Formats: sequence, C-alpha cells, structure tokens
Amino acid sequence: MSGVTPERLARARQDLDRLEAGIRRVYIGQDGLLHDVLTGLVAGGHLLLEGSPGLGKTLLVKTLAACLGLDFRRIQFTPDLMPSDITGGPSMVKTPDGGTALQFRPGPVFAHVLLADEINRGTPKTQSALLEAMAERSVTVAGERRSLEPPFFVLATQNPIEMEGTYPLPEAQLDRFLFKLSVPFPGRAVLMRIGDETTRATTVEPEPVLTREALLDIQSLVSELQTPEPTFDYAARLVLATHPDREEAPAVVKSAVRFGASPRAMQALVRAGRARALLEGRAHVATDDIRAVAPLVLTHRVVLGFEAQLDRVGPAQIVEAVLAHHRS
Amino acid sequence: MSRPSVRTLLSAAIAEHRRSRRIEAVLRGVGGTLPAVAVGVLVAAGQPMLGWAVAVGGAAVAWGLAWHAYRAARITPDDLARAIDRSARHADLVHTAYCIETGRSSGAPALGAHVVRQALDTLPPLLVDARRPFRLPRRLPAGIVVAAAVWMWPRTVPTGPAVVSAPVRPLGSDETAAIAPAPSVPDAPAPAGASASEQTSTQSGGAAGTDRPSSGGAEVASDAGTEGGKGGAGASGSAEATAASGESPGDGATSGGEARDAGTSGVTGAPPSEGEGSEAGGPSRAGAPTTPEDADAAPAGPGTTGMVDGVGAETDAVRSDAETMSVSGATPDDTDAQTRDVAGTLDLQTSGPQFFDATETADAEQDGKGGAGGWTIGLSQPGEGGVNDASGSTWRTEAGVADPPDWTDAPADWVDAAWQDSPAGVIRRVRDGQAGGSGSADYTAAWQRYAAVAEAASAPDTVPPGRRALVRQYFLAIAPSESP
Repeated sequence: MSGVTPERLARARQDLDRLEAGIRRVYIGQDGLLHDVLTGLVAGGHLLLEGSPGLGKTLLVKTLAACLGLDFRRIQFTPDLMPSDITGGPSMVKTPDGGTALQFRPGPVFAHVLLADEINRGTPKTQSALLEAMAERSVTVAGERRSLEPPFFVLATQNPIEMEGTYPLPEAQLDRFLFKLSVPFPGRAVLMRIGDETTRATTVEPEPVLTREALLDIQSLVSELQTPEPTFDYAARLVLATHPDREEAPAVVKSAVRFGASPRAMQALVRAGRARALLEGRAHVATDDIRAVAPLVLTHRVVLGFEAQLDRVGPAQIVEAVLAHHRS
Repeated sequence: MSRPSVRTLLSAAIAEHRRSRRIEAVLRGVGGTLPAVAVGVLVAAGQPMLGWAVAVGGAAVAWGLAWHAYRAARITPDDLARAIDRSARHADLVHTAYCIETGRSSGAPALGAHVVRQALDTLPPLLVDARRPFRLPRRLPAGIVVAAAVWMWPRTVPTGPAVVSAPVRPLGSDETAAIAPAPSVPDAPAPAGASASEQTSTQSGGAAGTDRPSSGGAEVASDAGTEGGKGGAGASGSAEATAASGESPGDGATSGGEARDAGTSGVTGAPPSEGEGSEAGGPSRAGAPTTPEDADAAPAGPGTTGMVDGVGAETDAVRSDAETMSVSGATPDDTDAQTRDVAGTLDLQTSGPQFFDATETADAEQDGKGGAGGWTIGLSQPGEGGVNDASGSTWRTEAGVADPPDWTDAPADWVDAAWQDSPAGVIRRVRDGQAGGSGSADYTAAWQRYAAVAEAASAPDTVPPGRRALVRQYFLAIAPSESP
C-alpha cells in the first residue's frame, strides 16, 4: 500500500465514482439511499435499512456485492432461526480414513457482504449472534474465535409494517449499526423506469468494477483524512446534545429523551463524516460533513421517553432539534 | 521566497480589519450622536441644558466606540477563516488549513500539506473579496443631515412673554392734532422721511434738507396720507421728500407710501422704518396710522418745525398707537442680545433666517396680511402691515385704520425684516431713552439695532449708493451721544 498522498485520494475518488456508476446501471432511483449506503460502506460500518417490502433493498445489496466482486450471502431471519445457522458450527464429517470427525462449517456470516433480511423476525438470541459478529468482526464457535475476512459489511433490513411475531432490536444492538436508513418509496418517474427497464427479456447484470483490495484501500484512506479539532468538537457537541441531562441539549431533548447517543455514536459520526468527505474528494473533514451524517447516525441511537410518545415526537424531530440548536 | 502561511494571511487580514473597524467605530459613534449633540447645543444656546446634552452625546459616542472596538477586537483567525469558508462554500478548507498549521488537526501529514496548499491557492482572492477596508456607516449621513437640519433651523432666542394684542384705542384729539394731511406736491419722487417730516409734523419742513430728519416726519407723512410719504429711511433727503409729498395726491395715503418709497430708494429701512413707522404710525405694522378723519383733522402744515420738536410731536402722536398695539415683552437684555446679533451679522443673506424672513413676508403678501410671527419692519409691500377693508378704501392695521397705500410704484426689490418686538415697544424705549438723553442704554440699543439692519438691508447692489449714504447719514445723525 502506497503512502497517503493526494494522488491516492484522487484515485479513490475515481474508484468510488466507478462503483456508483456500476450500481446505477442496475439499481434504478433511490439516489440518496445509494449515496448513504456507499458512505456506510466506505466508513466500514453496518447499515440497517428500514422500508416496506419490494423497495429494492435486497437488489441494492446484491448489486453492491456484485460490483465489488465480493462474496455475498443472505440470511432470511425467521423466529426459528438458530445462531448456528448464522455463525455456522461443528458438523460431523467423514475423514479420509473412513472415520468421522467434527469439523467447523462456516455459516453465512463468513462473507464479505451479508444481507440480514428482516432481522427483526429473528429471536434475540439469534440476533445477538449476528450482532457480535458485526461488532467484533469475529465469531466464537465452540470456544474458538474465528475472524471474519474483511471487508465485512452487513446490511440488515426490517419491515416496519408487520409487527406480529417480530422481535424489535434492542437499543444496545441498534447502536452497532452505523446508519439506520429509511428506504423511501420511489416517485412516479422512477417507477416508470423500473417498469420499463426491469421487465424486458434481457436485464442488465451487475459487473465487478472494484476489487476487494481497492475497497479496503479506500476504507483505510478514510481514517487518514485531516480532521480539525473544531470538527471533533462539533461532533461531540451533537452527541452531548442528545442527552437530556446536558446543558447542550435543547428543550425538546430534555423533555422527550430518556437516553442519548453513546460514545460509539461519536465514533460513527467521525467515521461517517470522513467517508462523506472522501466521497466528495476532499482531504479534510468539515463540520458540514458531520452535520450531514448526523441524522443517519443519531436517529436510531436516541431512546425516547413516554412524553415523546404522548407528544408524538419521533427521533427524527429530536435530531432536527439538536442540529438546529447546534448549527456549527 | 517562501510562501506565506494561512495563519500569516489571516493575521494580516485581521489587522487590516481591525483598523477599518476602528475607523468605522469612530464614524458610527460620531454619526449616531451628532444629531443629539447638535440638538443639545442648540437648546443650550438659551437654556442651561448644554451640560446634559454634551453628557448624553459624549456618553453615546463613548458607548458606540467601545462597542465597536470590542467587536473589532474580538475577531479571531478562526472566526475569519470560518466566515471565509461560509461565504465561499469551501467546506472549512481555510479553517482546516489554519488548524493544521496550528497543530489542531489529525490526519496524514501529506494530506495536511495538500489541504494547506489548496487553502493558500484559494485564500488570497477570497481575502480580497472579504476585505472591507472602509464602509461608511449608514448612520453617519443621516446624522449629518439631521444635524445640519437642526443647525439650519431658525434659532429663536427666548423673548419672554408672548405678544398680546391690546384693544385698539382711537387717537386722542391732541394726538390726532399732531397729524396733518400732507400737502400734495406734484412730482415728488421720494425719499422717505424728509417729506414725511415736512408734511406731518408741521415741523419737518425745516427738516427737509436738514441733516437730521426726524423719524416723526415719516409718521406724519403716513398719517397725512401722502402717497409719496416715505417713512422709511427717514428724512435726510428733505428736498426730495418734499417734492414727493407734494406729488402725492394728498388724499390721505397711508404710511405705506413711505414704506414703498423707502423701498424704492433701496434703503432697507427696516429699522428706521420701524422706528419711524411706529412713530409715523404709517408703515403697515406700526399701525400708527389714523383714520382719514384724523388725518383731516390734523394740521396740514408743511413741516416747518424743528427736528427735535418734530420728533417729540411724532412721538406723542404715536404714543397712543404704541399703547394700543401689541407689545412684546422683550427685555433690555434680550434687545441687547439681538442688537449684538444684528450688528455682528450685517450680511443680509447670512442673517436672513433670523431677522429677515422674505419667505414669510412673501407668503404674507399673498394673503394680504402681515407676516407671520413678529413684526415686519422696514420697507413694506401690500399686505405687509395690514389688510384691506372690503371696500378697499381703507387700510387696516393692528393699530387702526388708514387709507390703503398705493403700491403701484412699489419697487421690485425690497427688504423686510421680521422683528419680534412691536414697533410700539421699540418706540417707547426710544422715546423714553430720548427723554433721558440720547445716550441712554435703551436708545443706544435701539439705535444699534436699527442701524445694523439698515446697513444690512442697504448692502445689496440694487440700492443706489447715494441712498446708502443717505441712510448712513441718517443714522449718524441720530446716533446716541455716547456709543457703547
């Protein structure tokens, strides 16, 4: 790996442009969502996508993995899904000499890009198995720790409509997702394009445009971007402003929030801000980057109180109030 | 040559910014408080408010300066860098570069150098755009305008109680007796007082051609109704005056004639005419004029009496008028102050707003009424001193009724002087002063006032030099024995 140079920065920017163009050949519309997903990918975080069925969440993840030339796996979460179905486990295999032996059989978590579809349908025990892998980037099976090969990128989806038989993710587990993205319903123009381009006899298949090494190089470059103290200060103020007992918090936070964002949110803000700066071809992180990613980072990390439900105040309004209170 | 750093550029820009802001602070402070100071000084001219005005103005200026200086001083390189980034939408490029140079940024050094280079490439033009070396505070022009308006506003010196009109009292028989119709002398051109003195007081005849025509002559002329009578300048040109009076139809023209004549001669005549006018009762305001009946009753004698006697007679004749007229309560001190002002400002143009209000007079003429506010002395035009009756045959002033003046030959150029004292009051002082000697303080003050106004009014080129000399001679003739 060469040193961190502006040329490397420019090359990374070109790679990301090529990746985005490759995805757009297949994935129609949802420009904002695609940009956020790429930001999360470059930042090395995991994403939680929330949206109705049929909005293209799975297609997006599959296309992304194909364009990156990475190993892609998918797990459909159901209530009877076991942790070992995710992590894998020992299984009885025949040895060459005719005997039998226990051999670890990797689960779908051992992939570069993992789609955890409808993650809220799995039991908490199963969910925790995946979340451990997400946080530690390793899996411990039968007392043996097994590392996951980078890059390890989880995109989980959850359906906000069906609540029956679901197990909403606990706040502590939600904290492990870098972003929580809402998949919006496409507009009329996008729907027309979808109806035209995806119903032909021959459809466009995604092609690898970026190598795994190139993606890793980009992810490593993110942490080298120049980040001035005021940017850290702004991120810290935003995180503190989500805590109702802090003086930085606006009035709505004091009245509606039970628990604010964790220090992990601070890490997420900085990483995501750096990733956004890289996507824009800059060698430094601005407070605007932090401000832009703050809603994606903080929304699912704020725990609302009973008053918020009474006042019909959601996490998005809380974050908006925080950003309005701390402009820069 | 090494390239300047971002920090150096920002520091230089801040230094320039602070200098500019300090200048602006001064200008803002001055501009913002200028009207208040001007008003305070103006008020302080007559009242002991100067201390307060200066204190308030000074405090305001001090506050403004301190505030702006504080604002200018509290700007830091971080603030300036952020402001530049915001205006140029550079995503904190300059600020990040400044942080990198000051060791307040983390990241790869190579990328840091890259950021600084980018900032240095873009910063100079941005600094030029952001430079605001001097900006005229918006308050300054407004402050100057307001202050100028305040200073240009006519200043009024407190004069005590307001003018109160007293009821008109008919002249007594002895008073009217002093008024004689002037014999009409054909081809009388006119200088003022001379004819008046001749016609009226029966004493002024001798005065015609004398060096010291009496103002009383003017009064008499007006009362006598000689059209040619000119009270104004007074008398010195007795021969002319005589001719003028002779020319007049002798039908009892009012003193307005005097005024016109005086005006013709270009003599400002303001003071004299006032003095005379009051005495003469003629000129519009003086109101001394009597009714035609009075005029008829008065002895017509072509003035032959001596000047001194004439003055006395005129004074007596006017006394009643003066008593019936509005009398301002100006004190001797006020009068002195005015006199000094007038004497100090012989330039008619500059002293105009204070003592000469041509505009008001012109408006008053349009209305056929006297000028607004105070008395107008000197050369008059129709409407200056009174209003015509419905019949148009008489000329009514505040002091009485007289025949309307004939303004057909009224000169185009003439001067009016708005006076706050009523002629009657002034005349009384003159009379009282003369009773005690021409060197009394009251007489001296009145003389100074009128001499100054007459001098100022006769300054324009439209006044023939000979007439100016006439006026000067007149005032020299009636000068107090001991000028202060």
